[in-house]
Amino acid sequence: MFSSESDGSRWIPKSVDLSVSLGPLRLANPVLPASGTFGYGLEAMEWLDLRRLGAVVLKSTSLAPRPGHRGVRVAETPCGMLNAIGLENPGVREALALVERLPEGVVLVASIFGSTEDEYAAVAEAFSHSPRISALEINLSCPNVAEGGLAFGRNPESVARVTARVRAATSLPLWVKLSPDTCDVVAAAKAAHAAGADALVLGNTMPGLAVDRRTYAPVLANVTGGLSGPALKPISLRLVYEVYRHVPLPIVGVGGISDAGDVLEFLAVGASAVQVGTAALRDPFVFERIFAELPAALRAAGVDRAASFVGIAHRGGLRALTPSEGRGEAE
Amino acid sequence: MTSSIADLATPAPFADLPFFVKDVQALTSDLVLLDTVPAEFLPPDARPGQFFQILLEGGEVYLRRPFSLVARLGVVHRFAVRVVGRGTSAIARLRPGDRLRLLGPLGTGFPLAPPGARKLLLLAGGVGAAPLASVLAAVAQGKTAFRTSDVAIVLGIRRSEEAVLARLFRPWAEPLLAVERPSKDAEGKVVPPGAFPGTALDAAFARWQELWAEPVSPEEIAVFVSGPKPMLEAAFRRLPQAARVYGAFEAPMACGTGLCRGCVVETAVGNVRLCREGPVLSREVHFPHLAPREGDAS
Repeated sequence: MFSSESDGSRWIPKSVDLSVSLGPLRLANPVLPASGTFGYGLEAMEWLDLRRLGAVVLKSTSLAPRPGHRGVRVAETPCGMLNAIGLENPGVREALALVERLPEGVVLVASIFGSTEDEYAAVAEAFSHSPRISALEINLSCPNVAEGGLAFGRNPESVARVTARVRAATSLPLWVKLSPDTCDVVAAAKAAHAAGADALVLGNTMPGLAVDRRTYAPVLANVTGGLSGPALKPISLRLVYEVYRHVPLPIVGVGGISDAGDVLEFLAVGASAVQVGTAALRDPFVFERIFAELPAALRAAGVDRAASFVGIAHRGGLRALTPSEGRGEAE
Repeated sequence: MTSSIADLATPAPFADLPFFVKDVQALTSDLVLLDTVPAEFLPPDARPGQFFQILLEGGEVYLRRPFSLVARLGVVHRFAVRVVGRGTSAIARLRPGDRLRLLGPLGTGFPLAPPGARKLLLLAGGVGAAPLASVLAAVAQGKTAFRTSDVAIVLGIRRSEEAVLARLFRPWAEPLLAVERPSKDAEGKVVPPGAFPGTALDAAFARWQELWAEPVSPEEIAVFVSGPKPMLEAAFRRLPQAARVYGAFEAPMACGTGLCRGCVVETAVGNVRLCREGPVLSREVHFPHLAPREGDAS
């Protein structure tokens, strides 16, 4: 399929197939920006060809505009950062106008947010009317707002209710983004599956707090924020591993991914694709770097199809690979 | 109405490049001058007031830290680093030969030719003065609509020992010093001699007639302010409505490229990102509600 793609894919050596399937949606490669760390893609257009990304996941969008939190919104922590932006967004109508400015050929996933089940459904319906949107991601795990988000995501029953409402409001492929801050992520994942999700996104930031050592007051205006970055990676790897064993849905892994080696770790524990977030805040060229490294990293592992790497940690790792699963086909 | 919105909305392209530390010198107890040189390539030329995100690789600091360029002298990129926490302490401990990465130039700097302005007043607040040094350097290099003789500089400091900050401007001009908590010599005179006791803004109003050789009316003046947030707000509230006033803002920042919205401030045109629409914001566009009404005395 790669020889048939023209511009934007010269970076993919023909010998490695990076394409992956997420239920009904097929992506040219498994690397996506994480919602909330990439805006609506308009800034990154200046330094990145967005068509190189497997898809662009838009910033979480609510029905009406939200101003977000006032005061300090970000703080550094060892191996990562805390943020409490407060889901600042221009509302779904303006978001739809913004994505019209993105180039053709970019696969778009809209992240939807609501304070109520009705709002989730209304935002889903609005995005579904746009031919530019290829899938929806339900944000059930934002820790930085009083209502909605994590308040729904912690509880399997409310996960099921919101997912079913959105399912009824759209025919687009539906991803459900779950939180690490729940006692039983498998129960939440099963609930999303039963309610009609096509894929799961695991996980999200972990609620945290930072104290200012000059004042001994909380750094963030919102007091608590979401922890992201490399500190989160082992937590997200565990979520993906557990859910992969128990729920037959494709998984998008997210949490602390910074390079091609991290991508392979997430594929190995069961993710079919990954999202890169905080690493792109530290290095806006991180996607270029991952795309440059990924084919070689897969080849070095003896694989010429990214899809054949998915879940191998559950089968003993590399030794699970048989020649028919992708060794040596390119030679 | 004016060209200021277009002027404020066009960020320059940026690069992420390896640099070496050339020199680190302490200027005050909490400010170091960091001189860096590119390991391979020069980044695009920065406009005054733009900033770079400095990354220390392999250390305990994860995110980059934003710093305004003081000046580019040949290939040397000079930054003023105020030590406030873990990241800036690590930068202050760098030694010649250490490696770092510079992402930039980023953000929207000061306008090179503010509409209608014939004279330029730089109001610098203590260790926040660095962006204005880059303005003066650009003036001296002929990159702006001003000549060095058009520029008046008032440097406000808290304590007399911070007078050394005048060195940031001294390659090109001598600032008028204002000292909020001045030391006195044996005869009870303010140190250094001639320093104005008070804030930079107070000094500017008190010495208004002496700032330029000829009388200048407010609509012919642009004022660039850089310092603590209360100073920026005071300048926006007190400077004559007809003057074009621009301020360089600071906030904790994560990405520096407009992605995360971690550094927004509320303005008359909504939330703006200091890393993109800023760090330089204009009173006319962003804070018109702060300007004194026509006829108000300052």
